[in-house]
Parts: sequence; structure tokens; C-alpha cells
Amino acid sequence: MKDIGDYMSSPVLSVDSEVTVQDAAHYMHAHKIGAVFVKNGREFVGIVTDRDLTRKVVGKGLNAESTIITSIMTSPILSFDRYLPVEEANIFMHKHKIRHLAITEEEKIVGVLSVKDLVSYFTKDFMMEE
Amino acid sequence: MMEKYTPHRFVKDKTSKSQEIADWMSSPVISVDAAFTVKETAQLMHDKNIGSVVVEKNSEYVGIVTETDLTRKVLLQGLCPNTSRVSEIMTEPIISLDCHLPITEANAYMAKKKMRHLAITDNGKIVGMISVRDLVSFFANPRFR
Repeated sequence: MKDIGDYMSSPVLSVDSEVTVQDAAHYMHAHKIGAVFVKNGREFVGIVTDRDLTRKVVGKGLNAESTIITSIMTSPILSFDRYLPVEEANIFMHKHKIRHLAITEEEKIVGVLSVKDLVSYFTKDFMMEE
Repeated sequence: MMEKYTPHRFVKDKTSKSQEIADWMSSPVISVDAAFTVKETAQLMHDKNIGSVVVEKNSEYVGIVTETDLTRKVLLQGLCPNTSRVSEIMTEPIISLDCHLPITEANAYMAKKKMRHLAITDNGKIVGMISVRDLVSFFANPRFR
């Protein structure tokens, strides 16, 4: 078994809690990411994914230019310690139906584990068996 | 014998030894009409708890729409979700693989193209969808490890 820390993306990317939904969408597009953290000062206060944007903005017909990101972010942030095995993160993400999980070290967010990272992890073992 | 693409959404057997895409995909596919608005499409995806839908026009599947399309194309271009049609933002043509191929091929293809959803065909007809989550279910299956 391997630690989550070996497979997560790091450092974490974030937007300020005062940006608009459109700003956040631009940021996610520019960085080619499906999830971004929201920071208020030095504190992480939430996470926004393509799913939040689809369901809470597009699906509700909100104006992305005037909607502030904190009104549609997911909070509190679900997280896992980086020294736990990837298998446990997989079970947790499956149960909560999430594609992105915040990863912490000493209670501080240091990375994010995505469903694509899970594929990388599990296919690596799969190849070795063949 | 049962059809190859019996919905795994309801009957998925996590102990299956099959390595065919057909046994790990979601089926049947969920579709919207090309005349649907972007907002209606997002709502349907929410209700069905799915990350992509196929777009149908005149009884033919013509495109695919994912959450990434909905957020990037709609929000970045400032399109109005209430009036924009799903056909304006769908990805076309639909990229697909045959359901009898091994799932490792779907994985290689999706990784290369950076896709989270891939349409699956049987005799050239779209019968299902495989997602990156389905890939995890397959590769994390203890039978193969």
C-alpha cells in the first residue's frame, strides 16, 4: 500500500473568496483543473468543482459575472491525511460520490487527490501483475 | 443469454472477472434533445446524478455534453443558460469505442485524450457510457490485484 501523498496533486490551487463565479471558471480553465479551493485570507473555506458550477450556477440560471464564489462553494471541505493509504481514500470518495478530495498534513491542506489520480494508482498495480 | 450491456448501474457485480468494457459501463445512455436549453440539461444531469449526457436530434445521437462543457463554454463565454441551446455547446462528433474491447483500451484512450466520459457502441450503435469512476471500480477490483 502506498500513501495518498505519493499520488496527490500539490501545491493546491486556490481563488480568493471575493472573486466571482466567472473569475473562478477562468482560473480553472487556465490551469486545466476540475476543482479549486476558496481561500479567505490564509484560511481554506471551501472547494468549487465543475459539478458545483454545473448544478448551482448553470442549472439554476445564475449570472456568473455577479455571483460571488462563496455562495456556491461546497463547505466544509472533506479531507484526508496524506499518510493514509490510497485504498481508503478511494472508498471514501466512492461513498461520498466526490471526484476531488482535499489532502492534509498536520491538519493543513497540502494537496488534492482526484479520481484520475486514483486511476493512475490502481493501473500501476494492475500493470505490475500482468 | 443476457444482453452484453445489461445496466451495471443496478446490477454491477464487483466480483466480475470480465475485462470487457460492456461489463463495466453505464447503460442505457441518458440523452437530451438538441432543443433543450443549457439550464435544462444541467438540471437533468443533477437529477440523474451524472456527469455527461448524449444529445439527440431526429432520433440520432449527434453530440455529447459534460460538466466541463457546461462550465467552460457557458460561463467563460457568458452564454445565458436560460436561452442557449445545448446543441450550441455540445462536443461533436461523439468519440466512442466498441463495448467488446478490453477496458484497458478505454483507459489508455481516455488518458490520452484527457476525457472523463467515453461513449460505448455495439455494432456501431451507442449503448452506454464509461466514466473515469468506472475505470477506478475496475482497476481497484481485488480480482485483478
